[in-house]
Amino acid sequence: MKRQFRWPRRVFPYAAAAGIGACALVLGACSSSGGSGSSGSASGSGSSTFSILFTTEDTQTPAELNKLAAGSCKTAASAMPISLQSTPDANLQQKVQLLAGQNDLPFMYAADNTTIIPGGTYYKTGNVLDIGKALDKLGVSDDMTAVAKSTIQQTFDGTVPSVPFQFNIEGLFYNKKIFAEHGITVPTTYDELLADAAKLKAAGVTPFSASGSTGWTISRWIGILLYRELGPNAMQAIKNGTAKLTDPAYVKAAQQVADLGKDGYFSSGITSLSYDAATTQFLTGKSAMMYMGTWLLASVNSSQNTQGNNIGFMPFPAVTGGKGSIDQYPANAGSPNVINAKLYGSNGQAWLKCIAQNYGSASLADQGTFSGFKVNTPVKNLPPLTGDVQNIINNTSQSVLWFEAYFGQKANADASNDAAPLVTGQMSAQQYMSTLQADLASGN
Amino acid sequence: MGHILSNRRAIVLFLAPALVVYVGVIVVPSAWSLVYSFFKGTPALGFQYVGFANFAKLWTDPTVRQTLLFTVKYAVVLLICQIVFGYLLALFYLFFLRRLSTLIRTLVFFPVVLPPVAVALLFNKLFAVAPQIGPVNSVLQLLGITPVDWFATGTGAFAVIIVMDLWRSAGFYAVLLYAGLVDISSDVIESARIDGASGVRLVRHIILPLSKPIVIASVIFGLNADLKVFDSILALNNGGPGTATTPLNLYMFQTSFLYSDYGYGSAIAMLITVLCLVGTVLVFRSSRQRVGEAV
Amino acid sequence: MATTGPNEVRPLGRLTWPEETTARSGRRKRRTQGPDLARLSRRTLINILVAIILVVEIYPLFWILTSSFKSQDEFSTAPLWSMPQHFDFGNYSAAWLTANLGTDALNSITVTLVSMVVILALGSAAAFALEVMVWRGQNSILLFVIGGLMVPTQLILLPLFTIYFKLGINNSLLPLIITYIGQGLPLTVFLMATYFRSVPRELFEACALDGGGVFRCFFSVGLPMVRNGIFTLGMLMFFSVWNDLLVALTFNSKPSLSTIQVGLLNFNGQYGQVEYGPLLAAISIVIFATFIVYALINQRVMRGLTAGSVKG
Repeated sequence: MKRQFRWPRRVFPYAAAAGIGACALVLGACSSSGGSGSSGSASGSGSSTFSILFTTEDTQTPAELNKLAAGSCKTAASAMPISLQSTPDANLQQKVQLLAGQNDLPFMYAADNTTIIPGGTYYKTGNVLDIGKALDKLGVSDDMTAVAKSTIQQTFDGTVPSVPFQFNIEGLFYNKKIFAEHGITVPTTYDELLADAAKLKAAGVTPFSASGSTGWTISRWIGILLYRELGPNAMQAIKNGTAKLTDPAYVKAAQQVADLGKDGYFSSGITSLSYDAATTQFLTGKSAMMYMGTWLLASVNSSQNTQGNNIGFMPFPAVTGGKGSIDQYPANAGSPNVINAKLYGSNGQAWLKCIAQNYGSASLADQGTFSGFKVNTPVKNLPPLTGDVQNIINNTSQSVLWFEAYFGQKANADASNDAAPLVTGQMSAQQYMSTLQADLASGN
Repeated sequence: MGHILSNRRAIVLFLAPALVVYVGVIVVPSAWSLVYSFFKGTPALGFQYVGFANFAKLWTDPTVRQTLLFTVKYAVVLLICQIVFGYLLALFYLFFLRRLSTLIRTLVFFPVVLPPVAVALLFNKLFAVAPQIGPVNSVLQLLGITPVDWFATGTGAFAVIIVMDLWRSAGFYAVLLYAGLVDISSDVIESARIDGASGVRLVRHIILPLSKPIVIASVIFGLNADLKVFDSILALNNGGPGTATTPLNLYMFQTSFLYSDYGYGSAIAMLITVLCLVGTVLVFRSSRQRVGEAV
Repeated sequence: MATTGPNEVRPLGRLTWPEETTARSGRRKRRTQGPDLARLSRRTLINILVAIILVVEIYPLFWILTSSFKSQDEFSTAPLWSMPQHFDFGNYSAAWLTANLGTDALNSITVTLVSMVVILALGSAAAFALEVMVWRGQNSILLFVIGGLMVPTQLILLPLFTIYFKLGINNSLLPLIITYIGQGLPLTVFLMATYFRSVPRELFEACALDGGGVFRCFFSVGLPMVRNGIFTLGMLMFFSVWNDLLVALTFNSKPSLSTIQVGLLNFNGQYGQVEYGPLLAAISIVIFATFIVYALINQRVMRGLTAGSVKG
């Protein structure tokens, strides 16, 4: 009986493997690269679509941009209509990487700090527009507030790669009524703060709210303590390598935060306490204070707040004998939103100019939030606390950064994920800092 | 038999489409990623060859050791629970339920089809201790035990994860094993009974051996699925606290896409594949069956 | 010679636990009140177990449903098992709008149905070739395909993204569909081969002798015999594609292309807030829809699972 066919048995598997391997090597070798640095200059008319990649969680900025497109920026929008794409924050890095790998980044995209700083990934591929220089060329450089510009430049080595749709300072929000009930006045030193916390705890009130699952609400405490103790260059020293996180002065700050947990000044069950639950806890009067940024104002002005005008804002107290001072507020210009230099042309210029001139007043009037742009049309009838904060911001010239400002992805993630274990005693301050230092050392 | 069932054209026609898709979607990308594991870099900036550096890092990286241990611990514990509970449920369906049988089987199976996000949210609330005491902690309180912050420790979180994944998958294994048990000829059972076997002895000496093939199949399927766990833990607590409950797959995902180290991430993925392979081979060896006959 | 066909099952369920048989047949050796009490206590035990199972399975779903009517602060202030203050459907409309559930549902259904059908078609054909037909190397190829079970999804994401981009199809639902098909094939081929193995070879040989060709044998003999296996796998594949999150996220380029699972992520706020009410409402809608589909094919599948024998 004649066989119809025969698999060349010994040859086939090897041939197949070789074929697949060859394909893989060829395809793997095809990767894109190129571009150089960031520029502020436009090339031609650029992209004709205002394509944006935001995180799903950021609903404010797209909403505001859409509003501008229908209103003050109608002309710019007709030449360059908005096209939104969003991805959950957890997936953002992956998405941007994949797009960048195919040279398909949109006109504006969210990104992480280390990728847009000089030497960072997208900086190298030429996908980062220097907003400061661009605004200069457009003649509207005054429309970015000085404090926003200096904060961004501090974060990004003197460049301005991000559009400051938001501008926030950080401090201690507190409940005036609880303070009055327990005879506490606004503390001006850290020791006073601790004494107040002890008093509150003894009276059965939770002193501080923070969220374990959103760990940066805890790790920001470390940052501010470092800035108060060691001065405004505390984290810059780490970046330059002149100091290490494992140095005693730095570990001390982590230990101080760990002690807060040990003394029971945070709420119980903090590990799985969500951001929402923590802010609700504070805004419904179940805790006395919360270290948070001024983006909280949106919640303060909403129905989530049952304490009304009893919510106040104070700067984080000074550390006696420390090199920092109480009027140095940690500030940030929101999470980075980058304009793709490769797609920036005359259409983009029109949009950027319009944003610079109008976004400040628009966001304050529509959403009660601050941005890094000047409020060119004064907004009346601001809620009292918002008004107070605006005054503070207007009178601030020097800001400091936050703990994770110069951290890479892994260090950032570890700082957040290990924060709850730090305050519940699962992890020692030494361990916490050495994990972070190791991450920084390996370039992550 | 013979001619028609060896029809070459038919074989190619039947097999080729599936094979093409499989090779294109699974095999080539896997091989491609294997190549990546010898490089370092990102899609945006390109890759540089680093030889075996990524694999060497696997040896020294303490997180790899921790996540590897956790993954194996998780898979073994969960698999045992899944098979045991599944088998017990299958026996329950078989011998003790009559009218309610289909209803109960359906109900117990239903969690399998729920979205991971929903199940994780559910269990987060069930075991919560803040802002309110969840049901589990309330029961503990009733029994006079102080409420436990389950998610604060690696052990507590591990317990919650096991309970959650067991709740979610027990129904599936129950039905799978039930299918195998039902198949056992009732004649064999009857004659065993007449010979005097009863109750537990019946199970141990007759039913268990006869259902061995389906149990082996379930173990293999379960082992591979459990070693590759990702969705449920990510949704529940992101592998926390810290990295105490992070499985290899999650660490690989973080490395590749969050920390932008795709080469190292691919090396970790290779480790996972090897782990699955080793596990499967061990199961086969110990059951002394060839793959072709396994189920 | 058995007169029942390979897919008919003599319901084992009618068997009873040994002591009961003795009691039922009326032989009351050595026991006087024994049998009744024993039977009663066992019945009670069974009922208790059933009750426990019902609570464990149903309560969580009940909780999701009732909680979906709660307002945001009820989640933070009221006890978890409390009933909502008002049965306010606001959460449901918020859910529908925020998650864009209408579009998402359409996308999910399209992707899932298409993937499922293609997986089953390709998978059963391949399994037929690998299991029923006879040729050299079939075992190796079978192993080769089953090996795909060990590949973690994350490993193939980046290369696939590049491939789809270069093919220019990345702004459609095609990347999702193709990926799901590729992922579903190993398990499908594995299980379908198993089901084919349990079909007596004589049937195929008879068909071959009848003439008419292999294709006829596949369609008129092979497939009907494994019908229940197909339904089982269909359900398995349906739900693994329906519930998938990672692949859908990676290849999701426009809001209009989201699936339901991706849509459920829309309830997270920028600083970590979660809108629980609308999220649970969206989940309830999804569960309800899923349950309908599930109930529809469940009957068939339960029968299928017990009849698609997996003998060794």
